[in-house]
Amino acid sequence: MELAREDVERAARLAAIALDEEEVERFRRDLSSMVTYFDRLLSLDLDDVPPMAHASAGIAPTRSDEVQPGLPVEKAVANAPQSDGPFFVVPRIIE
Amino acid sequence: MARSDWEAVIGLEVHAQLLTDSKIFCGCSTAFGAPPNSQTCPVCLGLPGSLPVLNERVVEFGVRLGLALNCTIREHSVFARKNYFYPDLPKGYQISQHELPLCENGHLVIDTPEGEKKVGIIRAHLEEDAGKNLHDPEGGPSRVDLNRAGVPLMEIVSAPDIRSSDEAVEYLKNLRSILVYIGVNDGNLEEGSLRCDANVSVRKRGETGFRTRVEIKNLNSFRFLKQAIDFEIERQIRVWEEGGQVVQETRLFDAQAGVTRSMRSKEEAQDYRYFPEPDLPPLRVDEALVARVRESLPELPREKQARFVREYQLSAYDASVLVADKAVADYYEQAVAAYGKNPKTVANWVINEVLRLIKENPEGIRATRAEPERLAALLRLLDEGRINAGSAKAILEEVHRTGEEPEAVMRARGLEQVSDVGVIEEAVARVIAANPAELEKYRAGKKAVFGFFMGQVMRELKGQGDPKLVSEALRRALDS
Amino acid sequence: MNPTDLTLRELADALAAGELSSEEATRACLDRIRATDERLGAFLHVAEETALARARESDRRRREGNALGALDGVPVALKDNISTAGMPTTCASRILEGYVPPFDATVARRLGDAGAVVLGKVNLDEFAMGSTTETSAYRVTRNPWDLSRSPGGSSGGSAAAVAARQVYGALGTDTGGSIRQPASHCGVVGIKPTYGRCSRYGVVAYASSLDQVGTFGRTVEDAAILLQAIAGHDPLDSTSVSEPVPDWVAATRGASVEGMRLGIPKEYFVQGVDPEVEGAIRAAIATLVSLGAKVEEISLPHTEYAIAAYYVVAPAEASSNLARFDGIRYGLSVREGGLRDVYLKTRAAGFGPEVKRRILAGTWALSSGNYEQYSIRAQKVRTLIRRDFEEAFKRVDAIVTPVAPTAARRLGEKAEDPVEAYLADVFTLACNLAGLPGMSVPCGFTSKGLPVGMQLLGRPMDEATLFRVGAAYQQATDWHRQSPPEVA
Repeated sequence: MELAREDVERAARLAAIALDEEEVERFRRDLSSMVTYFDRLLSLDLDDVPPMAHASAGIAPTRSDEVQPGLPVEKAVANAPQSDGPFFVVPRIIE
Repeated sequence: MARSDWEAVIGLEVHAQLLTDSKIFCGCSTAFGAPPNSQTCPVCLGLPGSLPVLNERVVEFGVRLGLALNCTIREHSVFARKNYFYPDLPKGYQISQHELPLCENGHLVIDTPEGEKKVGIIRAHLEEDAGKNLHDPEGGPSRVDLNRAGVPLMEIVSAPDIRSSDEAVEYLKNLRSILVYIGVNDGNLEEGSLRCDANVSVRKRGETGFRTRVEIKNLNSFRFLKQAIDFEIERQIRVWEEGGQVVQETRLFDAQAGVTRSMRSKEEAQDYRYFPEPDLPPLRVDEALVARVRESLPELPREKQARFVREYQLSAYDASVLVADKAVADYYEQAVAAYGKNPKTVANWVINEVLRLIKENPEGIRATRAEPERLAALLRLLDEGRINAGSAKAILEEVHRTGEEPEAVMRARGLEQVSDVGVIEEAVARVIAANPAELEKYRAGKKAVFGFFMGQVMRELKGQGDPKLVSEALRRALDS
Repeated sequence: MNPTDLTLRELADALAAGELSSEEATRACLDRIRATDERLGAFLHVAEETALARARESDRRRREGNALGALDGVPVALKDNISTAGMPTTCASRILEGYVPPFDATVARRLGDAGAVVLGKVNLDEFAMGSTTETSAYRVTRNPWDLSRSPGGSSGGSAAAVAARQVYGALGTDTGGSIRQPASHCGVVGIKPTYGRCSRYGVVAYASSLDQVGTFGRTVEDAAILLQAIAGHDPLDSTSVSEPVPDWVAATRGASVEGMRLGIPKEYFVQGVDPEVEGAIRAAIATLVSLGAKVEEISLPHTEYAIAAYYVVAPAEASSNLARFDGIRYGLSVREGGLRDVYLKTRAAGFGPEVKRRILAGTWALSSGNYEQYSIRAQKVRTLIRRDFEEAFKRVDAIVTPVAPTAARRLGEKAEDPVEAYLADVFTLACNLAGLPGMSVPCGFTSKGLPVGMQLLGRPMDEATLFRVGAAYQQATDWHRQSPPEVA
């Protein structure tokens, strides 16, 4: 299946990656090639086959509701590109 | 076209913070009000490589809530990722439940002027809360605090069965009451541990389909919920009647202006790209757990209400007032037990007096020092004729503040009722002597003047005369 | 004799016998890294000081009679997508430049608890997406057997470092063959255990339902010693299995394939497999038969759908897993314009083309409309592939296949079309889709002197059989004793 530029632009918007014109075209070609290859999945009769979203048949384990020590604030923000005291800082969020 | 030709179609989405000690997927504390980012770890900060592990109490609370809302508990429910970018969402996705939620197909009963009504619960599912973005009022950069990120929530989605703002308020009150009863939520709308969004549309009476709905956010009190829905209903009717189209959108309630406002419309409809969370296998809730939780479920508000009507012969209304808050219901039952008779009288005193005294107090019934035993003692003084109703109220007010024994207050303030017939007869004689004109009227057949004499005698006795004895003495004197 | 010539087991014995100290072994490795890594390019970070300190601690423990076990004092390397407290963890991506985790991955902690000396972090394809290690944002890693060639990938740094005798063993991760394929191309042993055997906690996720940590060694026993130390249930990983870990090291000793039934899937011997590679695998099978194994042809009929299913599922999960790299809490951040610009520009500048391609493909596959059509179908195909294996394992104890259709490719020899590149993963992907254990064992060389690996696939939780087959094979062959000439 051939993808349109808009398909790539939409994916890029959802994935929050800025693309230049050249990249849009290149990824359009690449994704088209991939999706064309994926189309072989459409030929299989899968109606009665359950999907496998997890690699093992396990069930979610649980932990007891006990407070465990976390990270000290300094460590929590240590890797932040921009911080203000204990806070992470981002450009003004317009609501 | 008249307003009455239209009806509202309302569904509520309620987010309830579950009262666990630690977060849903990590061991960080959920305590409110801690210093910013002091309750975080690699998991809730979304550090690369960190993984979620489910809190067992969250599951138990989820089942408890599901059972209390008459839901089916799914044996296998699945966590999913809801993908979007926002600074308060550290992983770039929220772990929630999408296609296979823990609880489904329940209902909640509310009272309406037309009688009882079942509001459907479509689903109730587990998810994690986001952090908090703090906006600089001066227009500077925003700051992010992730203490709340990962706090466990249950999202409860009602069916679009609600038809008015009053029903919506009733639904939310009942839901809150249940949440608090079963101990999974503190019921605090103002602090945001209980949050409500409303989906509102209108349609002509007789229409069976739905028209475009609008989601209203930020309804953090019963009053706002009512105002916002009323505003929105009127707005939508006006739009349709003027030949316009209601736009599907999210609107924010502006409490100050009392209106809903459209939120900045997004470039395109969101596509959250839900898919099963690969880091969490399906959640299994076996029958044994469901049975155990069912066993431990306390009496729910409506069951309690029915029992109060049955057991104490209360009106449905009085019973509903008493059971709305479990602590009040417990207080009432303790007072009835201490008093040992006449539950109806106890109900009147609790509803009319005790609840008045604690109104507006965030602590609720826990704020009063007039414990159930003291209320019972007060009622006994009343029964014994040692105080009258007026004094009783004054004494209760003081007991409520100080926690002293009613009898001690009565003595200290000299509020004991005058039951000495001699004293009362003297007062009657004085009043009659001082009001010859009124006596004339009474004797001429104007019996209504009796009330005037009653009042004068009570004043003479500083309000503490036993009304029954005063009335008898007065009648004797006037009719002789 | 140079200590770096020893296998991990031989070093452990020498340390135990007091013939060598951990500090001496560590210094020998550091010297070798200094001498060879400019050409080889395996390391992204060498932690010389901490490694020497750890080595001296190990020597002290040993002197005091408190040695911890076979790994105590043994120098190893970690793939740079495994979090290490206080040591950079970049995933070979610009977006994590400068990031220092405040915590250890469980597998890193367990290696530390076993006394292993972590020499540093080794190269990979950016976020483990690739099979040549060329998508690394930092450096090119070369194949020790031919420096003009790729070591394979994505764990190319781990495989190259072990092959070039820079370390005695290494950890890698395998999402679609990222341990087995570079092990094959570099002539070392690589094992990807059953999904859930090793904790993924602290391992930067590429595709969560496929990722699994595993080990590299010069011998099957070396790989087993390392895996023994890191495997086992971890309460911090909800997908970690609770089954006890058998004694794999014991399983490698005096191992035999006598009476073992080995399956040869006909779908894995098809056109496109290099005749020299096929020849080496056929010869290895003949060796196993001569050792007493029984061989039968089996069928894995849905093999032809594995690549399509994988390249839907893995990018879909990746697109979500990599959303956290948003320039707010760690890593690269391009601060220009408003909030939305920070996202768009940070991620545009921080991710390389292959990562972007997979994020975009995955986003597309999860988008409304495509999710049902492609993602759900791919998950259903996973079920079919798993069932194929379940059927096969009713008849055989292990499956033998090539690891890759060809030996190591030349660097820069890149396919124009991504699908063409992805086709080379055909033999390794199904194992991850089904969650099975898989191992690559050196089984010969091409006429150009490039190593060829044989892939062994086992039942879920049955790594022991793979270790037995691999160890029995190595007792009878000496491919694993060859040293790469180029970095000698």
